[in-house]
Amino acid sequence: MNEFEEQLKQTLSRKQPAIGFAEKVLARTHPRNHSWKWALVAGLAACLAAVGVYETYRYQQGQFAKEQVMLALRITADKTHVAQQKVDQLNHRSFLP
Amino acid sequence: MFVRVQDNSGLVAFEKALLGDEAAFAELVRQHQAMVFSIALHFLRNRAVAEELAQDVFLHLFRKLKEIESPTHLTNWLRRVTSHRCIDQSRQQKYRPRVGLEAAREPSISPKHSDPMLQSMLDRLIQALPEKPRMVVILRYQEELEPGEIAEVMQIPVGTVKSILHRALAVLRGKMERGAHA
Amino acid sequence: MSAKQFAVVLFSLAICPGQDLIQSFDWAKLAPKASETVEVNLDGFLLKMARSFLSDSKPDEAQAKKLIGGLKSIKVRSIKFNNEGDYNMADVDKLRMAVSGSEWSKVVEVKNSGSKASNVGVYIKNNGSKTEGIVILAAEPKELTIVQVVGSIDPEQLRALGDAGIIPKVGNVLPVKPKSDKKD
Repeated sequence: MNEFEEQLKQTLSRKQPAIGFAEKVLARTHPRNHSWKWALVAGLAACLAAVGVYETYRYQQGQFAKEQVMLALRITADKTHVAQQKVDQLNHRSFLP
Repeated sequence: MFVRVQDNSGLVAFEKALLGDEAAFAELVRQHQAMVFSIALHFLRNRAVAEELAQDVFLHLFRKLKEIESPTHLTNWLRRVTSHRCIDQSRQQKYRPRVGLEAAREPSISPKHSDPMLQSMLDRLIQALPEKPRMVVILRYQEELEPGEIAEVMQIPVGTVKSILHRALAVLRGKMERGAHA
Repeated sequence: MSAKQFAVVLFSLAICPGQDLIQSFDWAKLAPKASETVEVNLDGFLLKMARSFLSDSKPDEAQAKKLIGGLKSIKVRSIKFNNEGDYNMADVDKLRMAVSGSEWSKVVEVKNSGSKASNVGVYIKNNGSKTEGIVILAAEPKELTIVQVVGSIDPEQLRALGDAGIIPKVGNVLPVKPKSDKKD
């Protein structure tokens, strides 16, 4: 190796990064180690969303069922009333001379 | 040829790190941080960017550690990834030298005298080299790799490495000599 | 038809507690002639759901909640037709035969013949003193309605809902206490 190449070697000698470089690298690896926490948070959020969707569905179904019950009772009463009227008409006729 | 001998502590740290030992991984980083950081620093000439890039390389290593077969493989892997990342970064235009090789200011002192000023001048001339020649010179004189090893790291033919190196040295020497006679 | 065959037909038509009278009827045949259709299918799950949504603090809802407490299902099918005679009264008679078994009490059955023929019947299924279901068949000139309630129902509560103005007045057709003897 000639003098010029020796000069290049000296110019390009290895240098150390700032103190605590390895610790900084390790610190940056930690988010990956804790990725399960994010997965847990995401899982919980998904569960909450699912519960929300289910509750909305349940509420709509409940409201629908309530309305259907009232409709069914109205029709039941209405038709019973029709029967009552028919009976009344018959009774009225039977009393006529 | 300069050969770095991997001592036993490196092997132990490597094996422990493979098993998920964080302290051993930190030890691996300490063992190789000067190499990775210096390649980046000499190539990019920006300490903060070089440190960021070096951290990224080690983070990548952390994720790919299971694929590394031996301490020697680890060293070669780090050189390859670092050199590729440096070239990629440079190609993103951010840290590409704004001046061409011919336009670079030539040193006004003789290379015979080794001093910080001379090193700074030479450093600037290296910085003015295009990406591939710059990396070839860094790997040859920082890492003291043979053309065959450089070819392996940079994934280019050995003949190309030799030709690039020959031309880069001629250009650098010429600039230095012209500077000395200026 | 021999007496034996007739008995088999009667037996097959007689509605059992869990049998679905509404499902046994061919509604698809009537659908093209219908101008309006009402369909209510409330099974045990939906009734339970409705109960949880009926408020205890609102008198009308509290009353309805109490009423459906012992029910297993409520099914209603009501079809309005554009023209009189769009459905066959013989089909209604088949339905009536299904509720003519010994377990059923005919509370009211009124038949009008002629051009404005109508056919209204209220049938209660009893088990001892307990009401296990009600079927209402109302075949009017332009409307056919079937209500099938399965489960323990207190007619008095239904009447109370009518008296409270929540539903139409039920009147005295339904007995206060379920009767096992038939009434015409």
